[in-house]
Amino acid sequence: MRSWRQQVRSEGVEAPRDAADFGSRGQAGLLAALLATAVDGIIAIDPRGHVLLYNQACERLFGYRASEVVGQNVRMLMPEPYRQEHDGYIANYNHTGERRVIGIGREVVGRRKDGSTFPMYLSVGEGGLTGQRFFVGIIHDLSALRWETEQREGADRLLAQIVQSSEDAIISVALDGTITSWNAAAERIYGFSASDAIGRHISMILPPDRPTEDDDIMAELRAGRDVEHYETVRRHKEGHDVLISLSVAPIFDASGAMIGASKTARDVTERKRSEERLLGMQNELAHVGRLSAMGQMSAAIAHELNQPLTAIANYAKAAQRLLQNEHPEPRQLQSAREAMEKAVTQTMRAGTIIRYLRDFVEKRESRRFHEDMNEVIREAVSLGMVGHSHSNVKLTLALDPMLPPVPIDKVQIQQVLLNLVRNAMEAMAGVERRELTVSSGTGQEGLCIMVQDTGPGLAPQVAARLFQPFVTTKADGMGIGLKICQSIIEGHGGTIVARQGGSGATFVIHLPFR
Amino acid sequence: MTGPQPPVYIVDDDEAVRDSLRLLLESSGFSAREFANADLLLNTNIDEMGCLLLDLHMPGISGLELLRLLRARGLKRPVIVISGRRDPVQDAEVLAAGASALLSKPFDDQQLLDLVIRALSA
Repeated sequence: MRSWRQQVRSEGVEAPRDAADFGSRGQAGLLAALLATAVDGIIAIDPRGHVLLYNQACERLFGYRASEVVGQNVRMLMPEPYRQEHDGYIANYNHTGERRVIGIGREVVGRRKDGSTFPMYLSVGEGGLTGQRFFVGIIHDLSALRWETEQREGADRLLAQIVQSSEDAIISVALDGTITSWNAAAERIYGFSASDAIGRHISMILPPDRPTEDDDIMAELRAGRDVEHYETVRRHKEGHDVLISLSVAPIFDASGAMIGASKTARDVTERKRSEERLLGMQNELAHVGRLSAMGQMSAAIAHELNQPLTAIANYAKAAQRLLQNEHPEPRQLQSAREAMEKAVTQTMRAGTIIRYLRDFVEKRESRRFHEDMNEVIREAVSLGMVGHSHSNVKLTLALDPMLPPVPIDKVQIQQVLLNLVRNAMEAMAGVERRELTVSSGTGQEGLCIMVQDTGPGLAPQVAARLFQPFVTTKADGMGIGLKICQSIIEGHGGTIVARQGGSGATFVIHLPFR
Repeated sequence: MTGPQPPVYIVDDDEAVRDSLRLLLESSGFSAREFANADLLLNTNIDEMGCLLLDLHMPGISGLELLRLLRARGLKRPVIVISGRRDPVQDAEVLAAGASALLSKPFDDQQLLDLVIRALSA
C-alpha cells in the first residue's frame, strides 16, 4: 500500500483511502468527487510548506496544473512579501503555536502563474493523519466581489464628487424634514456649512412668510408629483433672501418606500435681477414709444380736446345769456338748465380723453390682467382715429364676441394697436380707397388680431426689414415704432408679422391664452 | 333787434359743438338750423339762410370744398368759418374761397355774435 502522501502526489486530488478511516470505498469516492467539483480551491500542505493536495478549482484560480505544484513549496502561490515570510510563519507556528491564519482565516493575496495577483479569503485548518500533521487551506476567490465593491465604491465616490462639485445646491432631507446631506454649493448658497446643517430641520432656510412651503412640497411628492423648477425664496444664514429655482424628487429605499427627498436648488438671484433690469428697459422703451406717439399726435389731440371745450364754453355762455334777465321766463330757465347739463357732459368727454392720455403716457410698471380684448381694441382704435374723423376712412371692426379674456398689459397692447392704426392711416393718405379693418378671433393656442389697410402695401425690401430698429420710410419717423411693437408682443409671449394683403398691408398679432 | 331775423345755418360734424352753437345763437335771439355734414346742406334750399357758420374739418366734403361749391353756385350770403386748427396758408385759402370771417375754437361768444349780427345785416 502506498502512503497517503504518495497517493496524493500520484493522483492529485484523490483522497486517502484508509488514512482518514472513511471506512468504505464509497465515501472515498464521494470525497474525491467533492474535491474535484468544489468551487473553492482546496489545498493541503505538510508542516514544511510542501503541497500535498491541489484541487481543480486551484488549477483554475492559480493557472498552475496540479503536477506543477504538488511537492513544491506553497509560497510559489504567494506574492511578495508573503512569499518571503511564509516559511517563517509556519516555523513560528510549529515552534510557538501562535496562529496567524490557522483555525481562523483571513483575506490574503494569491499569485497566479502569470505573476498577476488576486484577492482571496483563506481559511486554514490543521489536521493529522497517521501521526503526521498537515494543513488544509480553503481558498475563496474574492476578485469578483472585490471588483463589484470597487465598482460600487467608485460609483459612489464619483456621485459624491459630482454632487460636491455641482453649481447647484443639492441636499437631502428625511421624511420629517431633517437634513441628511448638504453639498458645497448648498454651503455657498445658503451660508450654512454641512456640519451646521446636517441633522437640523429644513425649516432653518425657509423665510418667515413661507413656513409651510416645505410641508406642501413633501405632500406633493407623496402624491406622486415631482416638483420641477419651482421659483421660490430661501433665507440665507445672514438673513437675506435668496431666489432659487427648486427641483425636488423623492428618495426611495430598497423596498420602494419613500424615505425622504432630494432637493436641487439653483441660485437665480442674479438671473432674476437681469430679467428685472431687462423688463425695466423694455418698459422704458415702451414708455418712450408712447411719448413719441403722443408727440406725433399732439395736434390731433389738441383738436380732439378743443371740440368739447368749445361746446362747454358755448353752453355756459348760452346759459349766462338766458339767465341775464332779472325775471327769466320758465322756457329760458329750462333752456339754461339743459345747457348746463350738456356742458357737464362735455366736461366728462374732455376728462375721458385726458384720463386716457394720462394713462397712456404715464410712466408705469408693466401690469398684466385678464382683459376683454375687444374692448381694448375698441379704445385703441378710437385713440388711433383721433384727428382722422375727416380722413374719409371706412373703419370696420370685425370682432369675435366670444374671445376669452387674456392676460395682457392693456396700455402696452393698446400702444401696439395705436401704432398699427396710425401707420395704416398714414399709409392710406395718398390712395383713393381708404378702408381700415381691425378684426379679432381665436386660434388653437391663443387669439389673433389683424389690422388691415388698403394703402400701397409693403415693398419687399421694406417688408424684410420692417421690424429692425431705425428702418423707416417716413421723413419724420425714427423707425422704432414697429420695433417697440415687436418687443411688447414678444414680451407677452406672442408674435407679430406683416403680410402683403390683396391691396395694402396686414399686420397679424398672435397672443397666447396664458 | 328789429323784426324776425333769417336763420343762421350751422354745418359741423361734431354734434356737441353744433348743438351748443345753436343754443348760444338762440339765447341771443337768433334762430338757427343744424347740418351734420356738407351733403345735408347741399340738399337743402338755402335761399332763406341769413348766414353760414361752417366747420373746416369734416369727413366727406370738407368745409373749404363746401365753401368753394357754394360760391361757385352763386351764394352771396356771408360765411363765417370756424376752425380748430389755424395756419396762415389755410387761412389764405379760406379767405380766397370767399369766407367773410375766420374764428378759432374755442372762441369768445361776443366775438361770434358780433360777426353774426354783421353778417345778417350785410
